[in-house]
Amino acid sequence: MNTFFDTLAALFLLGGLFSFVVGALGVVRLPDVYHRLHAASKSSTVGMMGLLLAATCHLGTTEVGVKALMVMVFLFVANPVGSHLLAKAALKAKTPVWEGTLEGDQE
Amino acid sequence: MTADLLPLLLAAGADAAPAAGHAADAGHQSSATTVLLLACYTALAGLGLGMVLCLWRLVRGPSLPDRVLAADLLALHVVAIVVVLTIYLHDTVFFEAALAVGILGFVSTVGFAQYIHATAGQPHHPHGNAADPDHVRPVGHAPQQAAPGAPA
Repeated sequence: MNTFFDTLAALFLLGGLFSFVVGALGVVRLPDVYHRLHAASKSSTVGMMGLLLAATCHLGTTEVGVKALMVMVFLFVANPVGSHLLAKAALKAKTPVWEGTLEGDQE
Repeated sequence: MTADLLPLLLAAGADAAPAAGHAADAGHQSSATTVLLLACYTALAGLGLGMVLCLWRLVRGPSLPDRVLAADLLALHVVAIVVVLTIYLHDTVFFEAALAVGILGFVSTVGFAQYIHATAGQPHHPHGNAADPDHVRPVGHAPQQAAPGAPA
């Protein structure tokens, strides 16, 4: 049973790692700040969920279950809020958009 | 006293943790399987790579929102590394640190967003993109008054 849960934890860990690396690559590669926010916020939220599920699988729900759930709920609330505030502020500060952005997409 | 304290000190380092665990408490819970250990190493390497990429964007980023976004993602990488180290060391004392770093990253992002929002209309705002302000229409906001001395 221990081996089963550890393998499950390894799978969750690698899934979360994949999300994080994709998010970091998007932050480097995407053309403007709005695309980068799109890459950073969602992928890091999902990646953190994978890592916390891995920790819960390995350590057991009695050890870290409640704390992992707290971190998960907090990140699910805080990450979209922070990204939305940052996008609104960048829009107000007239941060340049990618030249391929369609007209009217900024609304 | 020193002989009791030494394994604890050794356990503070990640590399010394298995040896100290053997020395200190034989009844310690069984460690992770090889698959999970390999996954932990891979995750640490990948998260380090992600931190390097975030640092590159933090240094390079042409505007202030880019830098704030990179700092936010960097804080999330720190949280992720703390969680992976929790799995690797089989020790739950770091979870409060994870929550604290997460809250800190969120609050700093909100603070910087408020700062960018507040200083957006100033003629010489320090965001580094004052050269071409005409790429974006100011939607949803009242037209900003041009400062008397500023070019239109």
